[in-house]
Order: sequence, then structure tokens, then C-alpha cells
Amino acid sequence: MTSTEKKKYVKYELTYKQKQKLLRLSKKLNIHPEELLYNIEIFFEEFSNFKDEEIWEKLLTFFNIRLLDDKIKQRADDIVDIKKKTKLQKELLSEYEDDYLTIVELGKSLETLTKKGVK
Amino acid sequence: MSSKKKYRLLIPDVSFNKFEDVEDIIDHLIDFYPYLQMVSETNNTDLKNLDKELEKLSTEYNELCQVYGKLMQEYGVYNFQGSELFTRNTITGLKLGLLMNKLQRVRRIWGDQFTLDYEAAREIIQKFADRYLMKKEIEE
Repeated sequence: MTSTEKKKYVKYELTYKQKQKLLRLSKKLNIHPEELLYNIEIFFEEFSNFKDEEIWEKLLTFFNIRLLDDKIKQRADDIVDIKKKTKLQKELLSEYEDDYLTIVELGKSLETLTKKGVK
Repeated sequence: MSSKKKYRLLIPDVSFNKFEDVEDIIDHLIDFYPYLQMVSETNNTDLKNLDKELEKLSTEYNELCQVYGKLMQEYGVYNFQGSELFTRNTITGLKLGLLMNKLQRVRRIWGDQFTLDYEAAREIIQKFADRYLMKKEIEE
């Protein structure tokens, strides 16, 4: 780093909510919070090199696209999953129905038997 | 991790000054953290036509959500019916338990003068008792 290019930095302290979010993220990704912050700092470093005026808007859209992409994949998985559960539930329904008929039939024969026996 | 610990970021003032609301930006960056590294792999052409792509994906996502919603509803109906039938069988099964007690009492009095296969009846009752009177089996 040459002295003419020396960058100045602003210190930013995370708000309480941001801290909570950071800690949750750290837990979820199993990455130390300081490492997360370091990577965010790297992002700002790269960002300072962009000349495009609307770059932030573009990046936000870019992030949203990636997020949507992930959500679509997740939903597709959810759909496969729920179809499986529905199929299983349908099978159980007919099993329960069969069981019911058997139980009732058995109950009837036991009842008549008991009556005969008690007489 | 101490809850009192403060977390700070050092932001190049060039970047810092570009933003009106830095707090909001940091919020986004934490939310979108998994995608941050993709930015360095992105070139300018990737950042064109973004709006169109976003629109396309939004439509696709909404459609999927609708399909999923309908499937969830369908599942909900089956699941409800299933629980109803399960409960009905449990109640019926309980009565069967009472009948079983009577059966045993009667058999003690009358001995083997039954036409009913006692062992078979007992087995069937046990099967239903295991299924409906014990805790609900894990549906896998």
C-alpha cells in the first residue's frame, strides 16, 4: 500500500438487532462472527473499486435473484416431499378403514358370543 | 461468546460515503451473506438484464408457491381424515378391550364350549391394541 493510496476507514458498530442476526448466522453457518465481519469488510473493499453509480441497486437485485433461485429449489423439494406425504396418508386412510371394518366385525362376533355365554 | 461483546466493521470511507443509510446496507449484507462471495466472481455482463431475470424468477416462484399451497391443502384434508379414522379406531379398539375382558371371563366359566377361535381372536385384538391404543406409530 503506497502512502498516496492510503485509504481512510470509518468505524461502524453493529446495532443490537444486527448483532443478533450476526450471531444467528454464525451459529447456522458455523463460522466465527469475526470471520463473517471480515468477509463483509472485504465486500466493502471490493465495493469501493466499483465506479458504476447504480452499483448498489444492481447488487441488491443480484442478491435477490440468488435468493429467489435458492427459494425455488427449496420449494421444488417441498413439493416432492408433500406429494410423498400425501401418498402415504392416502394409504394409511384405506388401512384405517380396513382395520375399522375388521374391528367392528370382531366386536360383533364377540358380543353375540358373550350374550350366548351369559345366558 | 459474551453478549456484551461489541462487533465493529471497518469500512473504507469511499464506500461509506456512497451510502445514505449505512445501517440499512449492513442489514442487507448480513441477510445476503451467503451470496457476498459471488460478487467477486461476477463481471459486469452478469449485472445486465437483472430486472428481467428477477421478474422471470418471481413469476416462477409464485407459481411454485401456488402449486405447493394446493398440495398442502390436499394433504391437510387427508391428514385430518386420517386423524379422525385413527381416533375412531382407538375408541372402537377400547370397546374391543372391554369385550376381550368379557370373553376371557365367559371362557373361564364355559370352558372350551366356544365355536370361536379364542387364540385367533386374541391375536387380532392384540394387533389393534398395539396399533391404536399405544402411542401413534411414526408415519414413515
